[in-house]
Amino acid sequence: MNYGRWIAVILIVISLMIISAHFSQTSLEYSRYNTQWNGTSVFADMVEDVGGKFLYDYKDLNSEANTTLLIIAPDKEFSEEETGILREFVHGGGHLFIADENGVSNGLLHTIGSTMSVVPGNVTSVDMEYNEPSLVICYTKGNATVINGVETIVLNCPSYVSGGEALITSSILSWDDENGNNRIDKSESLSEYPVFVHESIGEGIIFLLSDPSIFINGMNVERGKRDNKQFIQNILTQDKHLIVDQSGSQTAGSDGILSLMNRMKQNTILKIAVITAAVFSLLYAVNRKII
Amino acid sequence: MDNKTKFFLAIAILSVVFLLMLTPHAKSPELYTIKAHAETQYHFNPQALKLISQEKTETMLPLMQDFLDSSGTIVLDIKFKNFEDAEDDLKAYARYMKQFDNLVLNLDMSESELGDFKEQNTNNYESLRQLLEDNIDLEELNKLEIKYQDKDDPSLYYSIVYEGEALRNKIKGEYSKYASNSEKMQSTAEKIELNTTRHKESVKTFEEIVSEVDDGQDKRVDELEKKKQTTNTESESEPDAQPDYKLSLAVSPDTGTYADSLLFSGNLSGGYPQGKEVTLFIDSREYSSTETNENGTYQLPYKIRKISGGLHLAYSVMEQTYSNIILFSLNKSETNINLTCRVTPNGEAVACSGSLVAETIHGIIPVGRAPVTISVDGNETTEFTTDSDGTYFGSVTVPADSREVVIQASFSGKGFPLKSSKSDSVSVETGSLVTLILTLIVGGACILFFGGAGLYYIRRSRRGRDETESTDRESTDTHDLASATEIPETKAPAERKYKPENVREQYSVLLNTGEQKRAAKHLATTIFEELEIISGVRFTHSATARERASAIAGSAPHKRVEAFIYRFEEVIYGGRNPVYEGRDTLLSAWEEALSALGSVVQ
Repeated sequence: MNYGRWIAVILIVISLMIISAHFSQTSLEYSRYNTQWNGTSVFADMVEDVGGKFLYDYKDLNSEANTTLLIIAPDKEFSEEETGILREFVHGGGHLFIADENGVSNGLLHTIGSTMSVVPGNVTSVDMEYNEPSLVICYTKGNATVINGVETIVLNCPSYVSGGEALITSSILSWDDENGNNRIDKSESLSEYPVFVHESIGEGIIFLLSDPSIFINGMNVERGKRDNKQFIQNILTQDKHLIVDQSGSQTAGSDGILSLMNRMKQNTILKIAVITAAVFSLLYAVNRKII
Repeated sequence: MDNKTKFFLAIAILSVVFLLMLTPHAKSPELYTIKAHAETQYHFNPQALKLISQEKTETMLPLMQDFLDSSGTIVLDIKFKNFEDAEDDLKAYARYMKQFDNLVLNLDMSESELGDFKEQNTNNYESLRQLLEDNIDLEELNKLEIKYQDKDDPSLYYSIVYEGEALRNKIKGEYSKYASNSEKMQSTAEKIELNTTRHKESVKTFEEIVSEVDDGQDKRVDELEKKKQTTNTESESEPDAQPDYKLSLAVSPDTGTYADSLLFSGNLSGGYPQGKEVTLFIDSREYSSTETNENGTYQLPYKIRKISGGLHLAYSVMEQTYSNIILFSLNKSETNINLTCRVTPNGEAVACSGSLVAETIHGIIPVGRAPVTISVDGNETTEFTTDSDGTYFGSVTVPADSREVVIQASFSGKGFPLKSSKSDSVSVETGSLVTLILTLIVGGACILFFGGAGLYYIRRSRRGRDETESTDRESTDTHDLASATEIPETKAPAERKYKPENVREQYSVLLNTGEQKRAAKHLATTIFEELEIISGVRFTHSATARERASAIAGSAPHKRVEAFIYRFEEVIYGGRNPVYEGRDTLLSAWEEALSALGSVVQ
């Protein structure tokens, strides 16, 4: 092969890499394939760094002791079968961590036997990390491994939680800004809103956080003086085993070619077919002296 | 398909893919800006926001706790007559209250529980301040009581007792206000988890003060009764003793606002009531006097102006006869203040003017003789007093080094039944007029200097070029004179692109089809070409026929060319037909001009 051909091959390889990089990304909210500010790609890397696993089907959930299961931004109601598996997981001593702001997980919580529930809202405060009252500074309370070394965290448009024992709350000068005008009106009242609570169920514990935005890339940038990083690190490392739900979570969000690729990755037969096709194409190209 | 074709096909496919990827962004060349991606329905992008790390709860809650706690201290100080300490504490209270009020306003929380707390806190402060003032007055009264007790003049003692009675009623009124306000204040405070124990104690201490004042006043009344009995016994023994007068007093209405009128009236009975002088005292200060009529009745109208809001008391006196004490209350009205500023010519001061009005049920009423404070950049600097029509004016000096100041006028409402108000902030540029004029002069001088220098340079350059051209022209003219009608050989029509016979033929065709102007231009084109060749000047497209002809001004063929241009212009601008009485004058002029220019005419 002459030099011209080599250059051409290199160019084609580089182009294919760029194209695959482009199509392996998305702009979907909370998606771990989204590398922009509203994705969770950085968090996904952190999960991999601590040896966490991604769970694509609840049937594969092993009820091992000392395990934390993270459900971040659930996007669908849980089926009876899934609820049963999760109930068994919690009662068996697992730690279930749910980060939900829309109340999608309320049905699951109720069925498992928890008194906690997410109250969809718009907690706003005079204590704000950025020049936007919806980026609320929240304060830890009580003792729990998950908040060790954490004094304050900043949340991004959180809802709040009822029930359970509060571990993190907003300051007393906070309100649920129902009309979204960023200021308190006569119909709104000041209160300390619980944003992170926990409750013991059977042998296990359920943690409920009312703002999954804490996991997005934009919140993982080192700005300000809050303990978000420590808090996330605690969540990831409080147990020996870490499992991150990809079955009903927005973090698994993908669209277009990426969606196809992801499905392909999860299907072994398809995976083998594609690899075989690629090998044959390469052999054909070499045989016909295309490359 | 050979390999080369396949290679180019692959490149083409890749190009198409990249084009498809870029096409959606073609309309917005800026692919990514943080501001454009500042928020979604779930969250804000922190990277697009300014980091402020604001924890106002840390500032506000301790301030609120301080208010609740220091109320207890102030009331205790008053109870134990530590008036100086109480005064110092009240000053600190007022200072923190201002800070707190500003925080509530800046955080836009006026409609929240904090806004309610702010209002209740202001009332709390007013009650404490009033309690202190009343107790200081009471202390003075106690001293006077000791002084007058042993004197023979019972009227002096009467006044002490009535003053005491007035103060007792006032303090009682303040207590009921304080207790009611405290209840609301504590309810708000408890809602935001503040400790209200000391504030609750302050209400109890206030109650104790009221009880002590009550006891003291009861003793005075008893003493007065004893004195009266003694006086009556003495007067019974005197043959020309004064008749036993009784004086009453009432006010209608017993509540009012700024600019309202109240009517104090009463009746004197017993003895000879007509023509007796009755003096009205408001808050223990003499207000006015009048005489009773034949029925013993009297009336004194009172216009509410410069008197603080809240509870007030009044009584009347006729010689040594005192009326009952009555209470009336004044509600506070909203006020509105405006401000206009203008920099004085020397730029060292700002002339301020504006007006202060009260918004009452009777409408907008000017507030006269009221103090207006002017703040420059947040610092209170000057106090003006409004005229009777509510207007004020004056000037404030501004810091010498400041280019711009923010001025605001405010009215505290103190001493009036009016609420405080602030004008809009006015931003004023304070550059001195002298400085401005100097700047303009210097700037103008600079423009003139550089402009002049530029002009001089351009003219000088042109002159140099003209001189060079003139020298060239002189040499050309000399040459022309020497060679008479000859055209320089070096500029011979060797580069000519047209053939005169063709031009003439084309001209005839155009003329016959009625396109006279195009025909004339066709002829002119050849002349212009000749002129370029002879003069060596390349004419711009916009150059007129005469400008082109001037390129050979002074030479022999010039006149012939001018004659052609004259005819040409007649056709082009005058619309004349080139053929006149069977003779084509334009063509003739063209042939002559061309001939003069040295062309060969067939």
